[in-house]
Amino acid sequence: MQNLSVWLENEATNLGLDIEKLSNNQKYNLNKILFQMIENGFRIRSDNPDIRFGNKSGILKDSVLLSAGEVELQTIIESVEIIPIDNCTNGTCMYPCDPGSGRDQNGACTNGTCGGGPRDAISRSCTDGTCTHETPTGCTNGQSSCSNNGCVNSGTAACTNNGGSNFTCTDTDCHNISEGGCIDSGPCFDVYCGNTMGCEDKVNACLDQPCSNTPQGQGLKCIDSGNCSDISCRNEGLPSQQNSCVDGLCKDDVCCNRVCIDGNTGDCEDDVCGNGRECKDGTFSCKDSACMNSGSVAQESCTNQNCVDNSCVDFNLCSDGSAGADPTTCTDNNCQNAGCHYSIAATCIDTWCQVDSTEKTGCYIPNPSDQGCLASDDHCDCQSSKECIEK
Amino acid sequence: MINTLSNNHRFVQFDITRKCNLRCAHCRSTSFYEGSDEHESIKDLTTEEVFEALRKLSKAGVERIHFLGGEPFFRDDMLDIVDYASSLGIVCSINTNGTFVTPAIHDRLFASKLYLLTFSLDGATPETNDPIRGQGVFKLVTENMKALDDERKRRKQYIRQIICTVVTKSNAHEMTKMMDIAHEIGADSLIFTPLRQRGRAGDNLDKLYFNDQETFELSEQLAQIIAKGHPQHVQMGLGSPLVAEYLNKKYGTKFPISPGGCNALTTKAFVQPDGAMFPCQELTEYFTTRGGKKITIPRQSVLDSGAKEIWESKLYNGLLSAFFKPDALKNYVPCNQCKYLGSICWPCPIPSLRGDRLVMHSCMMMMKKIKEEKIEFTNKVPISYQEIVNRSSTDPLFRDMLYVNPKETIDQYHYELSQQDCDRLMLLVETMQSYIRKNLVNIYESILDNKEI
Repeated sequence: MQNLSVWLENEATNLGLDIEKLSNNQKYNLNKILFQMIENGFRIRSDNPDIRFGNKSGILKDSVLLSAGEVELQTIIESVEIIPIDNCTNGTCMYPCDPGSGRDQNGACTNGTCGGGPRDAISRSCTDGTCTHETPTGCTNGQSSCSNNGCVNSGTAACTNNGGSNFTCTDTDCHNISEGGCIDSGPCFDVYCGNTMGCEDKVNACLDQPCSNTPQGQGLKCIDSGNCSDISCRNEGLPSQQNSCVDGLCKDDVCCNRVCIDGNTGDCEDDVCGNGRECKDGTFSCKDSACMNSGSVAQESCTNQNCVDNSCVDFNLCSDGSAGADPTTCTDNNCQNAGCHYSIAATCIDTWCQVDSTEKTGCYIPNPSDQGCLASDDHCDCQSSKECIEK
Repeated sequence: MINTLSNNHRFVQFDITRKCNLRCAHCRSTSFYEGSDEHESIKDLTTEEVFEALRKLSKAGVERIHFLGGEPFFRDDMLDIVDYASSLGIVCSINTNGTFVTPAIHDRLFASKLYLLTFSLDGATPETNDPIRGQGVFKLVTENMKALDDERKRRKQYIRQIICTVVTKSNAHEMTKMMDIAHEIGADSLIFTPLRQRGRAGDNLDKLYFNDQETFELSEQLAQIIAKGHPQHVQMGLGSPLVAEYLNKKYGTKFPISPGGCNALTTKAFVQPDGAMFPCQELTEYFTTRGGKKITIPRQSVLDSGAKEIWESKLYNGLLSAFFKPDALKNYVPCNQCKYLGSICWPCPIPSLRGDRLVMHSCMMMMKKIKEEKIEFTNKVPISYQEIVNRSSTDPLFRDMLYVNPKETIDQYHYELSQQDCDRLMLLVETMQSYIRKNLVNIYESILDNKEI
C-alpha cells in the first residue's frame, strides 16, 4: 500500500517539482505541511464531541507548534488555506468527479479506456499511457517500474527486484519507495521510511530519521555484523521474539539492553540504560542520565557502586534521616521519607502527613455538611473535610 | 510508523492530586499513591508547577486532558488549572466523586470552559452506593448533579455531566434503576464500566468481582430495556465490540462499535500528580518481557524532561513499535481470529509482550453464542462515513493510510460502509487530494524560498 510520503513525491514529480532539490529539512517541512493540511481537512469535518466543543468554545487552535524553527513553518502553514468543506447542498455530497466525462462507478480502469479517459471513483486520473489503476498484480522481480497505484505486491516479500536504480516500489511492506526499498544498496531518503523489512544492506545507509526496523516478518532485524547506524534501530523481533541485539557492537541509542546477548557485555552505552536491570557488566558503571535503579524498586535502592544519577530516589524508608553511602541510609536529595504511610504512624515524619491512626486511612468524612471529622479521629479539629485532610 | 508530524490530537489523563476525601472500595488511585513507600513520595505539584506542566503538554500537541485524582476538586485551584489549560488550547474534563461540586462553585464552574464532568456513582440507592463510596455520598452527589443540571438549564450554558458506574457484584442488581436515577438527575450519559482488578479492588474481589458471564447477562438485560426506548443515554463499557454487535443484532440496540482498547503512546499518555509522565495508567513502573526481563519505564517529569521530549523519545517510540506491531497480539485468543482486531479493537499488549497466551473469555463466550444462536455474523465491521472521518481526525496512522489508499484502507480494516457513505468518503478524499495537488506548487516554492527552516 502506498504511503503518504510516496504519494507526495509522485504528485510532486507529476507536477514537475524537483523534490531532490530540497534539503532533508525542507522535505520534512513539506511533509509536515501536507500532513497538517490533511489532518485539518478531516478535523473540520469531525463531529467528535470534544473537538466540536473545543472549536465552538474557541479553545482549540488550528495547529500546535512542535519544534524549533516552526514560526517560519507556521507562517507557511497559515498561508495555505485549510481544505475547504464542499458547499454541499444535498445530504450526501455526491458530485460527479468530472462533469465532462462522468465517473466510473465500479472503479475499474482498463488500459483500453484509461489513457486520458474518464476518471474512476477514487479520482485516480489515468493520464499515462500505461494505466495507473490496473488490477493489482504485484511487483514482479526484475520489473523496473511498478508505478500503478493499485500495485500492492501481495506477496510477502518486498520488492526485491533490482532491475534499475529508479524503480518505484509501492507494496505494503516496503516503505522506502522512492529509492526502491530498504534492501537496495542505495541510501534511503524519504522521511517516512519505516524500513519494515529490516536494514539488511551492508552499507547501513538508512538515513531516514524515524527508521525503526520494526519487524514485519521474523528474523529481519539488524542482523548486520557491523554497526547498526540508523538512529532508532531497536534490534527487536528476532525469531525468538526476544529483543535481542545480536550484532557484535550493540550501541544503538534505544536498545534498552533488554537482552544484550552479544558477547560484549562490558559497555552499556545506550541512553536509556536502566542499570540494575539488564546491564550485567561487572562494573555497574551506569552512566546514563535516566538511571533510576528501577531494578530494585521498593526494595533496596541504589545498590550499584557508581550510581551517579540525580534522580535516584532511594526507596528505603530513610526513617533515620541520616546520610550515608549504603543502602540502609538515604543519600539522595530527593528523599521525602517515603516511609510515611497512613498505616505506619511511627515512621511518619513528613510535615504534611499527620494522620496518627493505624486504623483509619485519613479523615474519613464523606459528607462535608458534618463540618468535622469522624468521632474516632481525636486529632482532627478542622472545620471541613478538605481542611482536615490537608492537615 | 506513526506520523509524528501532525497534532495527533493528543490526550492525557492527569492525576492532578493524590488527595481524596473518600476511600472507595475499588479505588485505583489513592490505594496506589498510599500503597508503598515509593508511591508515598509522589507529591502534588503547586499551581505554578501545574501551569508549567500544561505548557509542556501543550507544546507536545496535547489538546485534551481528563483530570483525575484523588479528587481533583480537592485542589482549590482546580478551575484555575482548567482556565489556564483552556488558554493553551486544551479541552478539559474532570473526573470527580461529586462531593465538592456544590452550588457554591457554580459561578466559578460556569465561568470556566470546562467541557465535561464525570461523576462517579456506584449504586441507585444509598444502601448500595455508600458502602462502596462512603456514607452520605449518594445523597450528596445526586443532589449536586441535579442542582448542576438545573443551573445549566437556567443559565443556558452547557457543561456536560455524565455518570460513570463501576459494575460490581454488590451493585449489579440496581443497574436498571441506575438508568432511571441518571435520567432523573440530568445525566447526559451513563457509562457502565467493568471492575478493574487493581488497587483497592484487588483487596475486595470477593465482594465486588462480577464475572464475564454475569456481566454479559446484565448487558442483555440492559439492552432489552434500552431497545424499548428508555430515555437515558447509556454507554456500555461492559465488553468487546463483539458484544455490541451481538446485542445490536439480537435486540435492535444501536450501541456504537467504536474504536477502543489501547491507545497508549499513539494519542494517549498518563501524568501522575508530581508531573511524571507514563504511557498509560497500567504502565507506570515496569513490565516483563517474554525473556523474563524487567523493562522499567523511567520516572520522567514533564517539568524536567518536557512532555514532547518524553513522548517522542527513543524509548517511547520503541515501545510504540513493540505495542502496535502487526503480530503483537498474536497470542491472544480469539483476537487472532477476530475481525475487530486492528480495526477498532486493540487489547492491552503488555501481556502479549510478556509472552502470555491470553484467552479473552468474554469474546470466546460471545463467539460461541453467535454461532449457537445463528446470529448473522460477517467478517465486516459496519461503520459510517462520519465515524471514519472522526477516526481520521484523531488517528494519524489511519488518516494517512486512508488519504492515500481509501479503498484499500477500508478493506484492510474490514470496514463495511453503505454505498452512499462509501461514495461520500471517496469523494471527500478525492476533494482533499485535488486541493492539495492544486496547492502543492505554491507550498513547494514557499519552502524552497525559505531555504533551511
